[in-house]
Amino acid sequence: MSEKVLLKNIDPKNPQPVTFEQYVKNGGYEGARIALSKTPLEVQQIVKDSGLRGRGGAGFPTGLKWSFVPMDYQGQKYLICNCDEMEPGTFKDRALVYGDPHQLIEGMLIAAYAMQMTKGFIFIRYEYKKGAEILDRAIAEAEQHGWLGKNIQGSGFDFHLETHLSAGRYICGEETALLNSLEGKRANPRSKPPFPQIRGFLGQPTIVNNVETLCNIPHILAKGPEWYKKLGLNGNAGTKLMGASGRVKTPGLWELPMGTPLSVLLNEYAGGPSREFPFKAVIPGALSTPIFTPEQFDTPMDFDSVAKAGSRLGTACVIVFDEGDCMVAATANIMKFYARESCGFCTPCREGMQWIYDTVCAIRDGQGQPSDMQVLDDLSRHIAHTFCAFAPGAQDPFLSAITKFRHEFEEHIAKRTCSIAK
Amino acid sequence: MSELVKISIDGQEYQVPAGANLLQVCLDLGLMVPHFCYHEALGPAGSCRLCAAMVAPSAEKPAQLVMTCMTKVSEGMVVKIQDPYAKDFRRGVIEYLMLNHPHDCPVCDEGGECMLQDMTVLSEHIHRRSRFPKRTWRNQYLGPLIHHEMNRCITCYRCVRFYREYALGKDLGVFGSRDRVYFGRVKDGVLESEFAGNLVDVCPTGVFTNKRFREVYSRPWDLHTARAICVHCSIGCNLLPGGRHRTLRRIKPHPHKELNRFFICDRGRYGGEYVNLYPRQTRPTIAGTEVGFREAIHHAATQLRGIVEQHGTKAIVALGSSRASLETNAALNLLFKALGAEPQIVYYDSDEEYAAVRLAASLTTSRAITVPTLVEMEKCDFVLSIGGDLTGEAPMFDLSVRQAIRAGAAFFVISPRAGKLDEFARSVLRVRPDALAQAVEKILQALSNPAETIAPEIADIVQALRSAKKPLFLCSAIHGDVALIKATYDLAKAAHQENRPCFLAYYYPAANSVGVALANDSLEPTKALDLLRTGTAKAVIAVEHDLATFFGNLENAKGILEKCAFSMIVSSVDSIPPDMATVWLPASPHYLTSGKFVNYEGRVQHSEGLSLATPLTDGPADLLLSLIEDLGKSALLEQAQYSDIFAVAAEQNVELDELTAKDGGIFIRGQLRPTDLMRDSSPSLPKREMIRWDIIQTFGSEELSALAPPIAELAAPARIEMHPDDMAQQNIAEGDFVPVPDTPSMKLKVVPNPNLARGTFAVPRLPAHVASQVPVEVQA
Amino acid sequence: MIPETLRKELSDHCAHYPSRQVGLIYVLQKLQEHYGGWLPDEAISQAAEIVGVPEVEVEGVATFYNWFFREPVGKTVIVCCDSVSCYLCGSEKIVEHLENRLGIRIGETTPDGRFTLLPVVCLGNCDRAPSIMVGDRLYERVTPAMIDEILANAEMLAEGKE
Ligand SMILES: Cc1cc2nc3c(=O)[nH]c(=O)nc-3n(C[C@H](O)[C@H](O)[C@H](O)COP(=O)(O)O)c2cc1C
Ligand code: SF4
Ligand code: FES
Repeated sequence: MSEKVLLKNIDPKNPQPVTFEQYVKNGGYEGARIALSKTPLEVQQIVKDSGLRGRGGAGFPTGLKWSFVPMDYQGQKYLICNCDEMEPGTFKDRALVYGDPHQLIEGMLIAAYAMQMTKGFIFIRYEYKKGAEILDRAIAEAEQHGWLGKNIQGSGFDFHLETHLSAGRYICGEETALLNSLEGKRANPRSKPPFPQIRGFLGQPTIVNNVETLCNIPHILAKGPEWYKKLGLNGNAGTKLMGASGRVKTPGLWELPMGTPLSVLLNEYAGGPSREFPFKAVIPGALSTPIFTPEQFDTPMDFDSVAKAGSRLGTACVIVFDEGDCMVAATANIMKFYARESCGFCTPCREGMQWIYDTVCAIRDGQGQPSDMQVLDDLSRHIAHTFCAFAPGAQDPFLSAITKFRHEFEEHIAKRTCSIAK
Repeated sequence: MSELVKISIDGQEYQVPAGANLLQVCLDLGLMVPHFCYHEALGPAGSCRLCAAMVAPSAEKPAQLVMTCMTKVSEGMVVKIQDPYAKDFRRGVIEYLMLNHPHDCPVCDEGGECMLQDMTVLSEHIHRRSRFPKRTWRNQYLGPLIHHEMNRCITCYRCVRFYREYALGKDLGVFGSRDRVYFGRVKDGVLESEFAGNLVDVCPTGVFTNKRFREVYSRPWDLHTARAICVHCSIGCNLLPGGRHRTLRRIKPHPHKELNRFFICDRGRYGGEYVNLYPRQTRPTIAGTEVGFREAIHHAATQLRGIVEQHGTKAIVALGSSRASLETNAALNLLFKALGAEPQIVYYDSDEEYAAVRLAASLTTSRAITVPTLVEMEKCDFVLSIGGDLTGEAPMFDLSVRQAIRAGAAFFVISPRAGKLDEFARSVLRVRPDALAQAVEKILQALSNPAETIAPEIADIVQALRSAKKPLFLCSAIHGDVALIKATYDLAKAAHQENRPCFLAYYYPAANSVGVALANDSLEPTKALDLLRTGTAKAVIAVEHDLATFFGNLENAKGILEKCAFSMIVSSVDSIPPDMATVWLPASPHYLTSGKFVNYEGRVQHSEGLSLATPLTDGPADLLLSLIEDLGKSALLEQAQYSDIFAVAAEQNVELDELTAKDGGIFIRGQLRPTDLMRDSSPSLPKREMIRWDIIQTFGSEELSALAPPIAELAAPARIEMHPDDMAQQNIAEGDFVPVPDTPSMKLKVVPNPNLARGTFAVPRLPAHVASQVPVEVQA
Repeated sequence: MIPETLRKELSDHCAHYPSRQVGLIYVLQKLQEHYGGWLPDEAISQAAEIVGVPEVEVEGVATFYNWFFREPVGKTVIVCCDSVSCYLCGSEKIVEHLENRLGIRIGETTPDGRFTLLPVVCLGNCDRAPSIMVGDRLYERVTPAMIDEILANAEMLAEGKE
C-alpha cells in the first residue's frame, strides 16, 4: 500500500476517534498553523496548485470552486461540510469522521480561513448520530485549544463550527437541497444559478464541500502542493479513499493513489470474487454511476480515466456483481432506492422512478411484457432532464443495466422466469 | 424600452426583449409551448418539466434540451419547439403526470377548461401504457368556497406558490415527498385567505374547484359570459361572470393589465351569487297589490306629476345609489327633469360619508394627486395604510400591498383596529378613530421640519418615508373622516415635493362612489331627512338604496314612508317589504344589466349584462326610463345617450374638463373644487369618551355580497369589540351584552380585543337589510 | 404539553440562528424524543409556535424526512438497510427473518408496540453487509442467528427501561 495520508490515524476496520493530543502528536494542526500565517488568497492558491478535485462525486477542482466566493463580501459567509453520505455503496466519509474528527475540523478551519468564512456547519446524516457526537466532542476540544472560536491562535480570525444532524433523506446530499434542509425547510433542490458560492445558506455566499475533500486540505498545507500532486499515478493528484463491497472476498476501504487501476482494487485489495462465479459487473463510483463490465476493469480509478471509459469516478466505492447475480433483480433493487428517495419535486423523477421500479419488478417476477422494454427505454432517456442531478444519477446505472444486460431483461420477459440468480 | 435581440424559433426569426423569459416570449408570440408550473404572475418553478425545447445559444453551438421557463433569451439563440427529441420528452412528461391521474374527465368540474387536458392533447400523449395501480388520496374539507380533489393533482406547485408565496397565506402547504406529494391543510378546515378562490384558476386541473359552481355544474362552453365590473368594492376588478338558464353560475376574474391582473378576492368571486336571489316579490305592486309593470309605472308617473303640480318643484326627495351604475343614477336625475322638478338626490347614508367621499373623489378626479393602479402599487417601496382595514375595505389593495411587501417595501399601518396585514408592518400606530388625522398631521410636521425631534412612535415611518423612492399612501374614505382625508392629502403632497413619484389612493364605500360623488346636485343626508321629517317633501323615491339603512332601521323607514303622499322603491334586492311603498318596482340586478362604474382611480369601466332567462328583465335604469316615457318626455331620452360618459356627466351637472385615455381605460376628471370641499368640511366632532368604529369585514359588510349564501356562511358573527382595559374600567365582562352605540336598540355580545385602540367600540358594519341573514348574536 | 425547560431550550436554540427556522429540524427531533419516538399533532403545533413558522411549514418538513414519524412507532425501531451492497449480501433474508420473528411486515409495528420494522437507505457500512440498526446501535454482518440474539437483548433492554 502506498503512503497513507487521510487514513494515517485511522484503522478503517475499527475506527476509534483520535484524541486531540494524539492528533497533534502526529502532526495535526500544522497545516492550519501554516495557513494562518499566509493570506487567504495564498491559501486558495496553494489548494488550486495542488490539483485537488472535489471528492463528493463530481470532481470539480476545489480551489477553483473556492475562488467563486466573493472575497469583498461584507455579510456572513458560510462553510458547509457535506457528510450526508447516503449514496449506496459509499462508506468513506464515515471512516474519516468516526476515526479522525480533528482532521476534518482542521480542514474546515483552513478552508474557512481561505474564504474568510466565520461560520461553519457539518451536515451529517441521521444514522451517523454517533459520528455527530464524536465531532461535537472534537469541536469542544478544538475550541478549548484555541483552534476554533474567536481569534484562533491569536490570528484574529474567528471560526465557529457546529454539527447539524439531518433528519434523513438522500437528496439532502445534493448541495442546494442540503441548504434548504439546513434552513429548516423541505429538502427540495434549488435552481442554479444562482450558485451557492454567490447565494447559498440564508442567501449568503456558501461553500459546500465533501468530508474527504476537506480532510485533504491540512496535508496539502502542511506538505505543499508539489508533494500532494505526486501522490497519485499518471499525473493525478493525491490519494483517494476507495472501497469495495458486494461480491468480493475482502470488502473494505483503502487509501490508494489516485489512478490505481480498478482491477488492482478488485483483486489485490478486495481479494477477488467471494463466490465461485467470476465478476460480471462493477459500479465504479457507488450507485449513481454507469456500470462497468470486465472489459473496463483495467480502467485507472481517477476522474478523467473513468469518465473516458464511460462512467464516473463518483465516490470511488465500487459495488461488485458476479455471474451468479441477476441484473434484473439488481436493477429492481437499485431503482427501489431512487423511487423511494426522490424528493418529488419534478415530474420525470417523481413519477418515472416508481414506474421504472414497478416495471422492473414485474419483469423480475416473470410478469414482464415485451412492450415493457419500450417503456424502460423511454424513461431511461427522459430521466436525464430533471430539475437536479438526482435522476440523471439514477439514469447512469439504469441505462447501462438495460443496455449492457438487455438480454437478461429480454430473457425474463420471454421465459417469464429467472435462470440467472444463484 | 428594453433592448431587442434576434432569436430564431422553429426556423422563424423574431425580435424579442433581451433577457425575457423564453417561455413567456413564445406564449406572447402565440407559439404554444406546453407548460404547467409556469404562470405569468407566479413565474417558473421548473418542476413540471413540460416546457422543454431544444435550445442552442447560437446556430453554431450544439442544442440542448432545456426548460424554456428557466431560460432567458439572448442574441442569436436558436430554439426548436417542434424538435422530435423535445416533442418525445414532452409526451413522456404528460404520460408520467397522467400515471396516477384518475381519468375522471366526464365527471370533472374542470371539464371544458382543463389545462391538463389541453396540454395532454397538445403534447400528443394518447395511449396509457402503465398497468400498475394508481395512488389515491383522501380529500379535505376546505370550507364553503373550494372543493378539494387531490387525486387529480399533477404536482405543479402552483397552488402553494400562489397561496403561500404570492398571497402570503399560511394554511395551505405541501406535504410528503417522492411520488406522494400532497397539497392541503394540516387539518380539514376553512381556508383562511380571502384570496383562496384564485386556487380554482391557478390550479391547471381539477384539484381546487369552485364548490358553488360544481353544485349546479355546467360545462363552461354552455355558459353565457359577459365582461363585467365587480360591484362589491370601489376597486373595480374586471370579471367574467358566467350564467346559464336562470342563474348566475360563477364568476371568474377577467385579466386586466393594470388592475386585477389574474386574480380577484373571494368577495368578488362568490358575492355575485346574490343575483340569484331575486326580490321575493318579482311583480310590481301598488300599495301591496300585485300589478303589471306598465300599470305600476303609469301610476307612479301620474302620482309624481300630481305631486309636483300640487306641491311644487321641491316636493320630491330621491335616494340614489353609489353601488348602482352611472346610467341608473343619471336616469334618476333625468326623471326629475322630466317632472320639471328640482333634483334633490342623496347618495349617502350620513353627512360624514357625504363629505368624505366627495372630498376624496374630487381630489382623485381633479388630478391633485397621482392615483396608482393596482400594479403600480406592487412596485412601491413604502406603503402607509391609513385609517382602514385594506383586507375588508379594499381587498385587492391588500393583495397588491402583499406584493410590495414581498419585494421588500416598508409597510406601516395607522388604524384603530388590527387587520390581517398588520403582521407584515414594520410598525403599527394604534389610534382612536378620532385621532387618526392628528397622527397623520404629526408625520407631516416631522417630515417638513427635519430639525425637530421626532416622536418615537412615528420615527420609523418618517425615516422610511424620507428614504423611499416610491411612497404609497392608502387611505380609507369609508369611515367619513374628512379631516383624515385632508391630512393624508397634505402628507402625500409634502412627500411629493421631494422630487419623486408619490402615490395616493383613497378607497370608498361602493363600486360607483367616485361616479356619484361627481354629481353636484347631491344632497346632504340630514337635509334630505329634514325635508322628509318635516313633511316639506311629499314624495320619496329610492333607487337601489336600502331605506332601512338610510333611516336607521325598518321602523323609522316605515314611519317616514307613511308620512309621504307617495313613495316608490326601485330595487334589485329584497331590502324592504314591498307594501311599505306606494309603488314597488323590482329590478334586474347587477351582472344581468349593463352600466358604467367609476372606480377608485376615476377610471370609467363598462359592465356588460348577462342575458339570462330571468324573471326580471329590466334593470333599474330601464325602469326609470320607462317612467320618463310614460311622462311623455321621450324627447329627453333621445338627447341623452346613456352609453356616452359625457352625456351621463352632463345629466348629473358635472363638468368634465378632460378625459384621459390611459392604457385600457377612460379616466374622468371632474370639476368639483377640492378646496371648496375642504373648507366645507364639517367641524371636528365633540370629544367623546368612547367612540364607535365600524369593522368592515371582507365577508358580510358589503350590502350585496353579504346576501350570497357562501359569503353569509363566512361572515363573522356580530359583536362589540372592546379593549380589555376599557372593559375592566367599565366593569364589562367578556360575553356581556352591551347596547350598540348609535343603535341603542340593539345589544351585542362583548368580545375583548387587545389589538383595538383604547376608547373604541368596534362593531362590524352589517347592512340593515342583511343583518337578519348574518349570524348575529343579538339580545333584543 | 411539554415542560417549560424543554420549550425554553428549544426556543433558545432557534434564537442562536439568524433565522429561527434553521432550528426546526432540531426542534422536531427533540420533540419526537419527548413524545416517545413520534410526532403527534400537538408536537406540530408546538414546533410551529416555538420556531415561529406556520403549522403547514412544520407539517411539510415533518412529512418529508425519513426520520420523522407522524404515527406512533414501537419502543425500538429496527431499520434494515436494503440498498445494493446489503442486498447482494442477503439483506432480504434478514428482513424476512425479522418479519417472521416479529410477526409483522416491514413498515409495521408489532401490536404490543415494542418494535417497528423499517427499511433504510444504505447505512454507509457496505463493507460489513448486511447491516441493520436497532435503536441507535449499528449491527454488521448480520445473520439470522444474530437477529435472535439481538431481539432477546433488545427485549431485555426495553424491559430494563420500563
Ligand atoms: C442526489 C445527490 C446526492 C449527493 N450526495 C452527496 C453526499 O452525500 N455527500 C457529498 O459530499 N456530496 C453529495 N453530492 C454532491 C454534492 O451536491 C456536492 O457536489 C458536493 O458536496 C460538493 O463537494 P466537493 O466539491 O467537495 O466534491 C450529491 C449530489 C447529488 C445530486
Ligand atoms: S430529479 Fe427532481 S424530483 Fe428527483 S430529486 Fe431532483 S428535483 Fe427532486
Ligand atoms: S413550465 Fe417549465 S418546467 Fe414547468
